[in-house]
Amino acid sequence: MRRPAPPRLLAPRRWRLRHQVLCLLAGVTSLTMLLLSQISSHRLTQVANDSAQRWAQALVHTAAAGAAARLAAHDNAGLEMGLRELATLPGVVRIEALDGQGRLRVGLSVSADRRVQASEQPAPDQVGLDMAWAPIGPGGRDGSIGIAVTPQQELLNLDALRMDSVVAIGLSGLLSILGASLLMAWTLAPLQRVAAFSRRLVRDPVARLDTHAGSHEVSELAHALNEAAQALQEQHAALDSGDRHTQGILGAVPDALLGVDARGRILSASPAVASIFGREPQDLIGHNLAELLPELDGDEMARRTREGLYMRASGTHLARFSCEALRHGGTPFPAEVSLARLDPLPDDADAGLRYVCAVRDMTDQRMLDAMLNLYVRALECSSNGVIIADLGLPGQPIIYANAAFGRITGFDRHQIIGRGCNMLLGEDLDQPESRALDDAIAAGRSATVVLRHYRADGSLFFDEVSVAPVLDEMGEPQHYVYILNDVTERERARLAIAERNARLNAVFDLSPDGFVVFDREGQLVYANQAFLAMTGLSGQVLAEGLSLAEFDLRLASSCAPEAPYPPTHLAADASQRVELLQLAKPGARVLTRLTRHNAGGQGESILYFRDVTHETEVDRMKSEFLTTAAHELRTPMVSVFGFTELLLQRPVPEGRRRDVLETIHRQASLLITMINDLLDLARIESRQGRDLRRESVPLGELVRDTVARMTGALSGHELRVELQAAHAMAALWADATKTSQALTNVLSNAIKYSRPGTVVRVSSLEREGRLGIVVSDQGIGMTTAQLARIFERFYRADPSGNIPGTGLGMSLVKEIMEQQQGEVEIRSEAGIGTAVTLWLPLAASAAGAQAALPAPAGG
Amino acid sequence: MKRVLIVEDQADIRKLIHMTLEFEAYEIHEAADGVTGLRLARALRPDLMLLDVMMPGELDGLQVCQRIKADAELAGIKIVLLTARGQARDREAGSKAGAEEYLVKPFSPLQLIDTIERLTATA
Repeated sequence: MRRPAPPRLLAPRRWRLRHQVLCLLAGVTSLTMLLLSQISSHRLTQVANDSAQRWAQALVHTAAAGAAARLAAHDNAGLEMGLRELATLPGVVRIEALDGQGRLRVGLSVSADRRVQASEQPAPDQVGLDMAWAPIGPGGRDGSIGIAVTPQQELLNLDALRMDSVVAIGLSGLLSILGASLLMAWTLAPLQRVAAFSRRLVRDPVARLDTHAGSHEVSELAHALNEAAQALQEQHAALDSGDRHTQGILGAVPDALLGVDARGRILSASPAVASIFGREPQDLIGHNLAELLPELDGDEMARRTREGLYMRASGTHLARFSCEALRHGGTPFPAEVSLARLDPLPDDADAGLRYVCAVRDMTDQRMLDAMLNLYVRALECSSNGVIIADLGLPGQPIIYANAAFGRITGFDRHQIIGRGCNMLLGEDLDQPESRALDDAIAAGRSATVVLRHYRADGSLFFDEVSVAPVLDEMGEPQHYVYILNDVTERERARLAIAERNARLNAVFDLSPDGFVVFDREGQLVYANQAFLAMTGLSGQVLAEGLSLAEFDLRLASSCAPEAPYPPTHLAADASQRVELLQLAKPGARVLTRLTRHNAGGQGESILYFRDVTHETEVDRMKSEFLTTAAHELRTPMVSVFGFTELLLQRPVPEGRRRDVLETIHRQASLLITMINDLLDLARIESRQGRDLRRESVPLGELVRDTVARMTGALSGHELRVELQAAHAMAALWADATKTSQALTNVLSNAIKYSRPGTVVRVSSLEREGRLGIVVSDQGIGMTTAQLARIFERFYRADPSGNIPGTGLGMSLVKEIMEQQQGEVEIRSEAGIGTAVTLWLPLAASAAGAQAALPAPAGG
Repeated sequence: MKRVLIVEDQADIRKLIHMTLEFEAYEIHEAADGVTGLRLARALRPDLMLLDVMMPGELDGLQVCQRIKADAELAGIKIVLLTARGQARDREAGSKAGAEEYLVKPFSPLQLIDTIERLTATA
C-alpha cells in the first residue's frame, strides 16, 4: 500500500507548545518587570521628591520656629548653630536663612559625605533643588528660612525596594514559568501520547487509545481519534479486501494477461504467465508478444481486433480466436486468445498500452474434450441403453439417449429428448417397481428395478433399469442416469425358474419322501418336512446349519444297532447308489437313500430319502408268504408224490394200497382247499371289498343256513344254536355269502379243535349298533402266543398235519369281516376252549352310516 | 443193520418214509418233534437221521442237527435234512448246521433210498 509520506521534513520547524507558553510567560514577565521598573522609577522620583518636599517643609517650619528669635536677634552664630543641627538631619543638603530683606544670613551646604559647610552659594550639585521656605514673622518680615532636602537617599532606599520587588517579580516569573512548564508537561503528556498514537495509527489502525487518561478535552480527543481509528481500520479492511480481491482475481485468473503496446511489445504480464508460458512475468516486459504467440505481431493484432467485436461500453475492439502459443523452450501448445484493443489516449504514442491479451492454455481443455468425446463414444457403444434426465427442468425430461436406447426401445432417440422417462411404461403405469423407482429418485438414491416397458411398436419387454443420481458440487442431484438393460430373456428364465421353484417346493413339501440339500461346503441348507418326520429330527437342524458329519452322526445315532449307518458320500460317483438305512428311532423304519451331487451349478448335494418301511414289510411279508405258501403246498405234495412213486415202483398189498390212496386223496384235497383259500384270500384282498354284495341279511337266517351246511362236517360234536329271538330277527348289513364263509371257517375250526362229543354253541350279542355271532367251543384252546399269531397266514396251531387245515381260514375270516366294517374278537384259553365273535353292523345303523358316506363301496 | 431215525411232525410223511425204507435192511425209528428226536438220537445212536427242518416245538430240525454235530459222541450220525424250503439260503443254513445231505420236499422215495444207502455205505 502506498501512502503519502508525512511532510515532516518540508514543514517549518514548529515550536513546541510548551516552549511557546514558556516564552510567552518569560516575555510577559520581562515586560511587566520593565514597565514596572519604568513606572516605579518615575513614581519613585515623584514620591521621593514629594517626600523630600514634605520633609523640607516640616524641617523649615521647625527651623523657622527655632530661628525666628535668633534671626530677629541677628544672632548669626546661634542661627548657624541651630541650623547646623538641622543640616545633619538626613537629606538636608542646604539650608539658607534670609533676613527680612532677603539677605542671606546663613548658608549651609551639606556635602555628599554629610559634612556641613557654610557657604553662601549652594554647591553646584545643589543648584536647582527646590528649597522649602518658611517665613519668619508675619508675612516674612523677619526673614525666611529655606531648606533644600535632597531626595537622593529616599531615592536610594526606594531603588533598593524597587530592586527587591523586581527581583521578587523575576523570581515569581521564574517560578511561574517553572510551574507552567511542569503543568504543561503534565497536561501535554496525553496530547503527546495522542500524537504518538496518531502516528502509530497509520501503521497500526487496530490500536486504540485509553480514553480515561488526561483531561476531558484529551479524553474527547482520544474518543474522536478512536472513532477515526475505527473508521480507518474499516477503510483499511475494505481497501485490503478490495486490494486482495483484485490481487486474488489477478492471481486466480488462470489466463495469462498481457498488456501490449501498438507495436506488439509487452508492457505488463500477470502471474499466470509463469504457469502458462513458463517465463517470469517481469522477464517478459519489453519483449515482443510474438515470442509467446508467433502469429500475433502488431499488424495481425490490429487486423484481428478490427474484424472483432466492438464493445461500445468500454470502447474496445474484442477478438477471440485459437492459435498456437510457445512455451519457454519453444514447445507449442494450443491456446485460446482474447484480444482487446483499447482506443489510444489522445496524448498516447505507440508506446502506450494498446492491447490487452488474455491467453488460455487449452492443452487440458483439449484433453478434456478428447476424454469427453471418448466418454460420449463409449456411451454410444454401450449395449445398454443409457439416458440422462434433467431434474432441474419441469417434468424431468430426457436430455440424452444413446444409440443402444434406440435399438432397445425402437424409439428414434431424438424423438424422446425432452420427454419424460416414464414414456416407456405405456399404459402400464401401475407398476410397484415403477413407484419404487420414483421414490428412489425423489430421495436421491440409486436403485435397480425391473420394469415392464413397451417399445415404440408397443411390444412388451422386461427392462432392468438402474438409476443413479448425478450430484452437483453441492451434493444435490441435478441429473439422473438411467441404464436400461433388456432382460426379457432373463426375466422369462427367472419367471420360469420361479415357477419351477414353486413347483419343486410344492413337490418337496407335498412329497412323502425326504429331501435334504447340502451346499458346496457340506452344510445342510434344506430339509423337507417329510424328512424331519421320518427321521424324527427337529426343524432346528435347519437353523443349526448342520455339517454333513454332524448330520451323519445324528442319523447314525437313530439307526438300529444291527444295521450300522452307511455314512454319506457326496462324491459325484455316489449318485444312483441306493443305500439302506434302518432306523430304530423314532420308530422302526427302513429308509432308502439316494445321493446326487451336482458337480456343476452351486455344487450342492441332494439326499433323497424314501421311507420303504411299508414296502419292505410288504416285501418281506410277500416273500415270506410265498415261501410259506410254497412250503405249505409242498408238504401235501410230499405224500402225493412219494406215495404215487412207491405205488408205481413197488408192488403194494391191496390192504395198504387203499390206505396209501386215501392218504394221497386226503393230501390232494388239502392242496385243493389250500389253493382255493389262497385264491379267495387273494381275491378278497385285491378287490378291497369291491365285490361285496351287502344287503340286509337277517341274522337268524344266515346262521341257520350256514349251520345246516356244516352238519356233514360234524364228527360227534353237538352244534347248538342259541340266538336271542330279537337278534335272530335283526338284520345285518352284510354280504351273505362271504359272511357265511367266514362263519363256516370259524365253525370248522371249532369242530376241528375240539373233541368229539363236546358242544359247539352259536349265540348272539349286541353292542353299539353291531351284532355279534359268537361261536364257542370246548376245545383245546390256544395259548396267548398262539392267539397272537392266529391271523397269520398258514399259521397252524397244530402243525402236525393231524388236523387238516391250510392255516388260511382265520386270515380269510379277518379279511371278510374287516371289509364289512366288522371285527373278529377271539377269547381263548388253552385246554378250556375258544370263543370267536364275528361283529357286524346292523342293517339299520349301517344304512344310516351308508347314507352319510359319499361313495359306498359296491360291486 | 443200519439204524435210521425219522424226525418228522407230519404223520403221513413219516408213513411214507417208513414205507419207502421198509423193504431195505434198516432199523427204523420215528419221532414227531425235535426234542423227542434228539432224545432218541442220544438213546439209539442211529447211523442216520432224517430230520424235518420245520417242526413245531422247542427245537426245529436245524437246531437238532446243530446239537448232534456239536456233541462229540453223536457227531458221527449222518443227517439228511428234509425241508420244503429249497432256497440257497436254506441249503446254506443246513450245511452250516452240519447236515450231510439236504432233500427238498417233495422228494422222490427212490432218491431218498439212494441217499441213505450212499451215506450209510461210507460209514
